[in-house]
Amino acid sequence: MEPARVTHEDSIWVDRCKAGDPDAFGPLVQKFAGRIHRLAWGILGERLGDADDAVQEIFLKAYLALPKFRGDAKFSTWLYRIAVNHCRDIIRRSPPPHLPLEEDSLPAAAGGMAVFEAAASGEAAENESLEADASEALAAEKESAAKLQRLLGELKERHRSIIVMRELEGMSYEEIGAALRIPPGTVRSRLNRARASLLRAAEIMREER
Amino acid sequence: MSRWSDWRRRMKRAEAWDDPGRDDPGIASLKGLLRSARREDPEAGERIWRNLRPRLHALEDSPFSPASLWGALAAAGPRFALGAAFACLIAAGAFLSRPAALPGEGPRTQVAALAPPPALSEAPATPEEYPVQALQANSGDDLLQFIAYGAPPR
Repeated sequence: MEPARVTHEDSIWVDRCKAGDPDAFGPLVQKFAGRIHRLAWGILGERLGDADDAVQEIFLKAYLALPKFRGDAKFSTWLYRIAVNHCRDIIRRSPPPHLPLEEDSLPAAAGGMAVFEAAASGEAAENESLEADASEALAAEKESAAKLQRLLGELKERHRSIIVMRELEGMSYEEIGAALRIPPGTVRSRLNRARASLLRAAEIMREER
Repeated sequence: MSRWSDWRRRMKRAEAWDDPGRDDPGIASLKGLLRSARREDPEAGERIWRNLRPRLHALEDSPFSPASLWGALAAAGPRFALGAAFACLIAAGAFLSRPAALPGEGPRTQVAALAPPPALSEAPATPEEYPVQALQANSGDDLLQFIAYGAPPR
């Protein structure tokens, strides 16, 4: 039996895109670009050369595949699946670059650093103490992002994907299962192993200091 | 500590990840790191769409774009499938009903066998002449005449 078609608010835009209106894809891009950016950052880590290019490719793939989207699942779940598969393709194609984790080389997507940068550049001119605070916050943010990226880089790709989807994207087990095409029980056990690996990576990092 | 027990200890710790009652500083620190990375870049959507929009319009304008081809295929799906099946049937029928080999395509011996015997322009030979000619002939009529005239008397 064919699963019942689920109607979501995004389906209006999806239907318009299918009808041949590419501008209807705009609201979908604007709604999900931030999340896809963060997902790609989490999964690709140091491989993420130009984050915008990778995200653009993901959306282009999604647009081309839209006629195949039947609406059985949420558009976001379907988009996450495309994004994860695209990230896997990039990982398969390129070995890890082993770049030194310098602060300046980190992608700006690391958790809203652009906000901090904008805040720092706008308000700092008016008040020096605010500038100092903003730069401290920026430095702390970048340090956290670098640390998290290094820890995620120690995990297997499938563990990294599931950690990012659960902990960064806040997806439910069912949503992760639908995006990765695995049952929720497998999501649970894989997530547990991923968390254990993350704890191990953190322990090793602490011992190295 | 063995690797196995070490792994089990970490798995037990990981199971406590979602338990708010458990106070594990390692998990708390990791959760803090992950929380700090949760914020989105609010400019990303606008930036990506600005670059993506011209590409999508270029795709839509192209008559052979993958999207339009797929759309056309999806729109004509059942008809296309029916037409393809019908074409396959015709092709299969034509293949099965064709002759074993056309006269022009067959081997030379086969062509010779199928070719009609050369017409005799001269008058039929006398019975005395038949034995030699009849044995060399390919025609059944010649052979019958040989049997009729050349057979030894009983």
